Amino acid sequence: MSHSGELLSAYLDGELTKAEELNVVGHLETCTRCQTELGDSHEARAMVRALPILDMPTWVTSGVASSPVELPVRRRPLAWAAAAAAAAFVLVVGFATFVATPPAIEITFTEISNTLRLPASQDGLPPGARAVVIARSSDGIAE
Amino acid sequence: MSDVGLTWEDVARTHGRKIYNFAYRLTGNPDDAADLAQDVLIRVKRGLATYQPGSFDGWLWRITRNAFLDDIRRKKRRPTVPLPDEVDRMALASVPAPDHVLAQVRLGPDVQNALLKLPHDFREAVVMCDIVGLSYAEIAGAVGVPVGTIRSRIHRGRGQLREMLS
Repeated sequence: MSHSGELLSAYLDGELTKAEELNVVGHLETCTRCQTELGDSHEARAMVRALPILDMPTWVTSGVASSPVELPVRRRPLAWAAAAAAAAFVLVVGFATFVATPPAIEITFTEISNTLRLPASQDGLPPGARAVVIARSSDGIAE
Repeated sequence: MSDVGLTWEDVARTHGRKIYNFAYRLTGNPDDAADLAQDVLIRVKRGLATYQPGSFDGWLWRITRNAFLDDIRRKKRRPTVPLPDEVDRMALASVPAPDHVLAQVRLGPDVQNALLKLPHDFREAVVMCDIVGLSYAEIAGAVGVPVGTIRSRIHRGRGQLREMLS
């Protein structure tokens, strides 16, 4: 004979199907062991249900009221998207720098000598000077 | 209760007491229970923004259960020593006058201690059933196990309680 076992608490709680309930009731009529087990389950349930129901302290809800509501968490951009954005930035900045830089302009020593009021030789070079190339860029003069 | 347009205040009003009692019977400590209830209501407040109307009880008790399990994990990382004279103050504080109720309340601390000695899965199922009043199907939905497992946990939990209290 198989005992009702864990079906007994479900029977007590009205949680069995009709067919299961009929089986359990039929079994209980003759099985003293299951009758005792049903009584034990009933007593335990009664003791737990007799525990006092407590009121929640009021400070609980005041704490909730003052808590911020978080915004939904946004998905982090994928690493490749960040890398592509960085690469695009480098390209744009590089191209802009290239375009914005004016072409180098050669200036003769005569022009420099005149500007600085230096004595010039017959061939336009100051005495002892060597041939140099002076370039002017947008941010100053570079040799 | 319709769960369309719910606010956390509605949930606190209609379910706060159950959440607190669930937490209290699981932890055996009023301060821990209050902290846990607050954590649950904060999660509800945040979660309602994305909540899809449906099985509200299942949603709420899953949140409650997860908050409790997170609390256990936190405490395992940072264990605390309980006060030596910890007593069931809340239970004694809310005692109505009739003698038969007084007798039951005197038994209360014993029942509470027995509950705390149950394996967690049994205690959770028994408390959800007999304190919160959820059906077996609702408990199964909240815990994420078949109804047959809940049936077994409740029956075995009650059996162990009866043994400890006899």
